[in-house]
Amino acid sequence: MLAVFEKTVANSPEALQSPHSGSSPSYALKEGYLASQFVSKNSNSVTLSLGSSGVLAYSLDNTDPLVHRLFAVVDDIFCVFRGHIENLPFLRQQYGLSKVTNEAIMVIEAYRTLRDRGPYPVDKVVRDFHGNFAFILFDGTNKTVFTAADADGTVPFFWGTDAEGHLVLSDDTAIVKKGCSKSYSPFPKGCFFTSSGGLRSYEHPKNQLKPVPRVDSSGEVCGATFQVDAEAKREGTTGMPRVESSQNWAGHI
Amino acid sequence: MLAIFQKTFAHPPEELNSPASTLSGKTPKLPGETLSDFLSNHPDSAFSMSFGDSAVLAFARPENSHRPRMFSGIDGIYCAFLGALNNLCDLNKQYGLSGKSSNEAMFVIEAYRTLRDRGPYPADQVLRGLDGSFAFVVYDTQTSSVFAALGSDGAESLYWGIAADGSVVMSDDIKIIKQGCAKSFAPFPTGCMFHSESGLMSFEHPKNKMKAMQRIDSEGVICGANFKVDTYSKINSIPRRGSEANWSLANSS
Repeated sequence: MLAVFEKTVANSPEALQSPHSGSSPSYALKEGYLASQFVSKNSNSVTLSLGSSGVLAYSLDNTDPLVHRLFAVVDDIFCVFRGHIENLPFLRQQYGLSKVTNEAIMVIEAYRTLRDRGPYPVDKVVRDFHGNFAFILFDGTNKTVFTAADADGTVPFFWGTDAEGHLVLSDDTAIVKKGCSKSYSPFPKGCFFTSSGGLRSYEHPKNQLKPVPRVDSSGEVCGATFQVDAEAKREGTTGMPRVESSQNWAGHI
Repeated sequence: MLAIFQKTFAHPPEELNSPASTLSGKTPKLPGETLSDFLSNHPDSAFSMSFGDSAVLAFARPENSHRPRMFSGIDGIYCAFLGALNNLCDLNKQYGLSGKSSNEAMFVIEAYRTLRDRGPYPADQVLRGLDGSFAFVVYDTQTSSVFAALGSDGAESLYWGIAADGSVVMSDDIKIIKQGCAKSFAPFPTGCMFHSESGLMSFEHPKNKMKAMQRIDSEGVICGANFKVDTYSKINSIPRRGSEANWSLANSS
């Protein structure tokens, strides 16, 4: 699966930019370069162009039976999901979905609940997903991105920025490398990224995330891994404000 | 809404082709050009999905709620639905869908999946049970088939035509169809359904054949064909079957 989002839609963290990409800049979005690379690599694939906001692409081939890949689009919300959620029946009941639900539909419904009603904070909702997963969700009406990976990092998931600052997300490291040259890294485990809130950890929602530059095999700085900073707390969350059950967390997504 | 399917699996009726397409000044365009015309008409609100070379689906978010339109994709079945169904609650109950998270497009996907996999009723009977003004196009990536229908009251309009390479183009926007298909187009007949394997059939008169009548447009050239129910010819009467019969679309004739 592959997603490229325009920089106004998804503000990728600056730490992902590597100073060494300048020599051979790669443009992921220009003339659909990365999407066509994906299509040439995976013969049976679908590309979705989201107007000016970006491109989603995923492969229809199910060559690897262990890799569980799903795509769904409902009401202008697009979700590419990879992995498996173990407590899906519980979550299906919680969101009032019918029997024909798969993980992608459930994530779309959870996002819609967060966006419209906000009964719980985002980190709690993502913590409730038990399993090995990674997903990318794009909301067409608000033009926002929501993506997360599980706490064990079992599903390969990478992100990076291309030369123009667009965000690239994929489970295939070769495609991300082509799109971002050196400005990429594995998506941090146990974290989620939203267009408005940036990168946050759902395991430690009150702590700041610290970028640690990583050095690849050729000795050059190649993106950054984000780690939870146990000392520094995020501004605005020191001591969660007292709220009642009528609280609307929708503004916090 | 715009849908373009390769002729190899969509099998559009031959009568839609007009000999005048090559003679008159305007020639039919290739699918890629029709798609870019559509996307330039809706610069901010449209998205498109390309399934390799076989199909292209494009959809524009409705700005006003004047004519309800929705697009959904679940489990490899994609549906663009125009209009509204009055008895959606009863139909949801029948198919075991939850009313809160289900819209008309998701219902049509579920009904199509039931018809494809289990076939408990003939397709025309299912369509006769839909109460409302509607038009929809369903694309199934697993079996590479197309299923389209238009409600009997004709409140929604759907047009279909043949593009330069023989692919069938379906849209509710007559300007796009005229630009893309020159003279090889026609309004989709009301009260009818089209399936890529079984062809065009009227769901109000399922036992009668459809006859193509050439239509002449204002310039005096043949312009596609109107399809009307032929009241004098009958398809072989529905054979006697038991209640365990499987009316899956591929078997119906």
